[in-house]
Amino acid sequence: MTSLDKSKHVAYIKSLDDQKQFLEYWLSEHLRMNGIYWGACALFLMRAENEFDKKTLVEFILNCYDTTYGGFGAFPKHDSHILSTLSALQLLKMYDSLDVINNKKSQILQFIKGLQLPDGSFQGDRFGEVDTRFVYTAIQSLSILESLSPDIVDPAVDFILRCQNFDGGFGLVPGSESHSAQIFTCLATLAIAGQVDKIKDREALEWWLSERQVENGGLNGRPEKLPDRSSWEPG
Amino acid sequence: MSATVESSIKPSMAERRPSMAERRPSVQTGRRPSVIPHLAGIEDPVLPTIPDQCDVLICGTGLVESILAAALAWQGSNVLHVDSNPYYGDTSSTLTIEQIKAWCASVNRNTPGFQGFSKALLYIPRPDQLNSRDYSIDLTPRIMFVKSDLLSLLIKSRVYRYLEFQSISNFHTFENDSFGKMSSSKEEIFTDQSLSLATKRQLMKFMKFVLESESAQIAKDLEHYKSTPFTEFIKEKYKLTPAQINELCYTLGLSPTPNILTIEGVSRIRRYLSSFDVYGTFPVLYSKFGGPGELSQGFCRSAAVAGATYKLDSQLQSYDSNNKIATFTDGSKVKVTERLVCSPSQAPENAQNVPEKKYEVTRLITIVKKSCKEWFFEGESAAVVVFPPETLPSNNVYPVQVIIMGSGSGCCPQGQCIWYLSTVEKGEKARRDLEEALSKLEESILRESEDSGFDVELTDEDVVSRPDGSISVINSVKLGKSFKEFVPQEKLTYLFKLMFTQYTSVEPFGVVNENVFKKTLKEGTENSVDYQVLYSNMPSAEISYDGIVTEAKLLYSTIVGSDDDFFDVDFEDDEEDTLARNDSAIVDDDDEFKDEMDFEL
Amino acid sequence: MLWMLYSKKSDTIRDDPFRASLERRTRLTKDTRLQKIKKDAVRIARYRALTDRVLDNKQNRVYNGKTLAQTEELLDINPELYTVWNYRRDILLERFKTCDSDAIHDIIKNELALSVEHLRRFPKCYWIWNHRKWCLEYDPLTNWDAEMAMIDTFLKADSRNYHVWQYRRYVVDRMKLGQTSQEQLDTDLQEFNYTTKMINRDISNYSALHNRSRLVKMLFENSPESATVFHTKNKYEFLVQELQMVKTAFYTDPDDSSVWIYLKWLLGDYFIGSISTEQARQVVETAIADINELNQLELEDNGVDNQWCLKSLVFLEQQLAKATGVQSGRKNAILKKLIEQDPMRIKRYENSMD
Repeated sequence: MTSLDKSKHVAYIKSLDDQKQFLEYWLSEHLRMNGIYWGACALFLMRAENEFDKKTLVEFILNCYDTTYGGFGAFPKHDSHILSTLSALQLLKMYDSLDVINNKKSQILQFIKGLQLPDGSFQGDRFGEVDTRFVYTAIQSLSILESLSPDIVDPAVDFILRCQNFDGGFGLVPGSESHSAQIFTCLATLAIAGQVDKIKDREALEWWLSERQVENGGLNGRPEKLPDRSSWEPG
Repeated sequence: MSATVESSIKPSMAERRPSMAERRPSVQTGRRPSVIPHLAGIEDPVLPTIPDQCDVLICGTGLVESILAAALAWQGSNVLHVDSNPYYGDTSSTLTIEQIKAWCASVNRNTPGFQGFSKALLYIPRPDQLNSRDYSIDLTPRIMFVKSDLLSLLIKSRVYRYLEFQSISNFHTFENDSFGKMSSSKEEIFTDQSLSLATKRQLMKFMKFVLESESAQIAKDLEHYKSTPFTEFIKEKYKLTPAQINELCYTLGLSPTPNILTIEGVSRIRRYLSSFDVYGTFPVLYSKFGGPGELSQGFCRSAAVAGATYKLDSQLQSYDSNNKIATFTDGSKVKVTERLVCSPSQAPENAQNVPEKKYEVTRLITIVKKSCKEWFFEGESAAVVVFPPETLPSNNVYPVQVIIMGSGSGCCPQGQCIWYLSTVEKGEKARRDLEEALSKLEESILRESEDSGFDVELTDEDVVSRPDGSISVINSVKLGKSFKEFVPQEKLTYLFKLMFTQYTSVEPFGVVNENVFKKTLKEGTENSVDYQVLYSNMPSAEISYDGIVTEAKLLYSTIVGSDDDFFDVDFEDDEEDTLARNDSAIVDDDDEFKDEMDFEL
Repeated sequence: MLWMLYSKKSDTIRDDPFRASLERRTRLTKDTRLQKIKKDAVRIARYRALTDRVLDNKQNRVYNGKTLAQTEELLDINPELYTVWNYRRDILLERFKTCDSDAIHDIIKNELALSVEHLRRFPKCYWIWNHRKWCLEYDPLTNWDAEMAMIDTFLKADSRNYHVWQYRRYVVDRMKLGQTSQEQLDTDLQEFNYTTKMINRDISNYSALHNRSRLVKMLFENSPESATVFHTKNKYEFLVQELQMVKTAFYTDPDDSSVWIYLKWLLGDYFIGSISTEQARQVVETAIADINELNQLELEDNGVDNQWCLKSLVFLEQQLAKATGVQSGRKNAILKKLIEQDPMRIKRYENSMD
């Protein structure tokens, strides 16, 4: 087996924030918080997490805090969104720095809980986009903040269960086509809630998931699509 | 057009269709402006004199030569590109009726020197009904497969922006005295109720095999069938009927000759299938307002942007290979520092080195007073019809290939249609095959358009799904009924008929190899008027554009040394300097092209 | 780096007949490279200046025509800037306050036209689709026909676009809110027919099969009078017809997983549980026979079983046992074949053994 050139991978991840001469860097501001999270995950896997300067990182995260709506944006001056809020919380947790948001915790909780709709789902921000990604993101965020409670979790679980399809998989909202990415977010939500046993037709789900691996070994997100990298962007 | 331009052009130039730049304003409405650069001799005045010196002189503005000119100009060569005609396109030009008349006269004049065409028979029964400039007639019409090197080049070079493309979905085959449409897509195979389940499976298996035939394993398997005729191969392996085999070989494969070998057949069908559903459910495109002639102009424009100089009405008289001086018939001279490239059709009068013209294509071009929309797919205005070998009363040995261009193609007025028929058969036999194919087309269109009760405008709605959930499909055979019992009550009005023979050194399977060029450079004597002139070829019989880019690249590497940097240019948008044009950072060129293709919202 | 290579080449090969053009090439590439670097710097500066201007105005809550135009300019370059979409919506909401419903409709019409332009370039961008939905929420006079036509065009271009299908379901649901119950049923039926059309066009269109499955359920629940099978809730009759289509499909392409997954649903508990035992036995046995026949052909041609045939047979044997209460004993034999031929999924097959 070929070995992993760790130093090169680490250097590559670090270089991602050093691309300011390229337009692409600036065109991807809206993904910065998530990008840093994925980069940090890779560093943790290689036990190289200290390659990121913790102080700078925490500073950046705090700069992304949006005082108007109470969550985190993806970049300074960007609006709160549940996606970047989760990434921010995950990063703070990973770098053992959750205490820096002690004074903001109640606003953050208010922001997240305020996104839940009467049917148990979550919208991504105040503009109404509903998606099982956001249910997972919200529940995961609350879990990191150790603030899960049945009044929030149970309707969310009910909503997730309504997203299951004829093939056993889960979609974006009730009625949406099954997609591996959405199955991940739904299962993760149920797992965090400790309610995986509530899934109906488990056999069909296992069947569907195991068929995502195609002949060349790659995985696809949906039947009769090309294999893709693992991401949660339905294509 | 400004007055100065008008007055500076010769009478023969005034007789032309509106150019691309005139048809399309420089800045389009909508969000994707595209500037069409001017072309000397069309929108700009023709150069008064030939410059003193150039790196490469190219004589003839045919498609291959125009691509070459643009490639060289972008590589940094100082290109002088001339044409002996008062118009662009040379042997692949797109002409008006008046230009065709003049062209016929010159073909039949039998002047000394190279003859690329002969026996031009022109018939115009009602001259008063033809407004010359309403027509764009291609001397060598072609269709473009979506997966082809030329389309990739058009996109890469951004020349596609000077053109407009339309699709062709309908490919008809003449069989048993009637026309049928092949089930060639997964959809058609699935919904065609005339096919048994077993045939559906075999057809799909064959299609999949063809699509995967570039894989190492299948290529290896195919080695066994190296010398097996293609028809035998499919009969044996896929148990298809003779009619299906004909359709595969001549309609999907568009083979111009019978008895092709397995590997050739497979690769020709792959060309069709892999092109299908790239930009939509059609395999082929053509450029609106004329084919190769329009494309030639597009590449000339690109060359002009990169600094090439253009001059029309300039016939090469001789080339002095010692001093590298080219002389034109009007006495002007130019020093050529690197290479003189010349189309055989533009060779000096006493040329000795022109490639041998071994092969023939006979063409019959007609304009009929009928829309022929019965043959087109919904929303389209062109179709392809093929008469496989031995399907005509003349017992044709070679297939007859037909491109039908309706008024929506911008090539003729409403209510009319241009039919381009061609065959690689020779002489009198060729003319008879074409006339017979023409009369079959005539019978067919009269029958189809007369039967008004049978609405042939098929749409998606032809798939009927009943409320109870069952599905039935109207077969998509548009030209289904037999001719036998049909007696036409009306006659078809022909407005124009042109038959001629074209000669070429490229065989019907049209791949030029580089030895051809090395040979022309070595042959001949030092004293001849064309010693060391690099000759290109006359257009081949191939109905698609395949082979064109290959030839341009071979000429290019013969001049430059390799084709590594053939169009290796990063075409940034210089036209606009706003950030909004920076799509390149977000979408790649292909996507951009797809957008323009697919959406007309 | 290409140009360095070339210049080296022309240094060493003195007599290179192509030297002139190689040198030209060197010069040209060098120039264009420098130009490109310069141009990029300008672009970055311009983009950042525009972003800063928009985000500053946003913080200062400047809601006017000029700032609206600026958001458009910026979103044209980068439609992923959700913050800027938010700002744009805040400006619009401010404007709505002084508008009657006609004026709001006109503004939204413009927004929708703009978003089509964006979607043409970025058909998979969540934020643009979301913006479109947001617009419809505020439009008192939506032209539903225009919306459906727009959706058709996008699905013609990419019949599997997840976002478009999602949007289609959303629009249909919204449309139904303003309809009588009969009209709603007809809408569902039309949607069902649309999936037929899409499946005919491409039997691998799993998105269409998915939508079909939920529409079938809805139609059986709500039974429109115009639809005989659904109206009489005759699941058996529907099943027989649908299985005929599926059979044609798997004969046309035995390797298409979409069809096999759909077949699994058709012969799953939803239908089998609501027809008679005899009917269930009959449909499942017919399907088993058809698949065996196909697999035989595949075996003859390819020398191996078709895995989808085998996988489906395992499931059908299970269903048959469920319907008749008798184990055929064939299931384990098929599973053994699968274990041999599809080692990637060995655990699943082992778990399914009786």
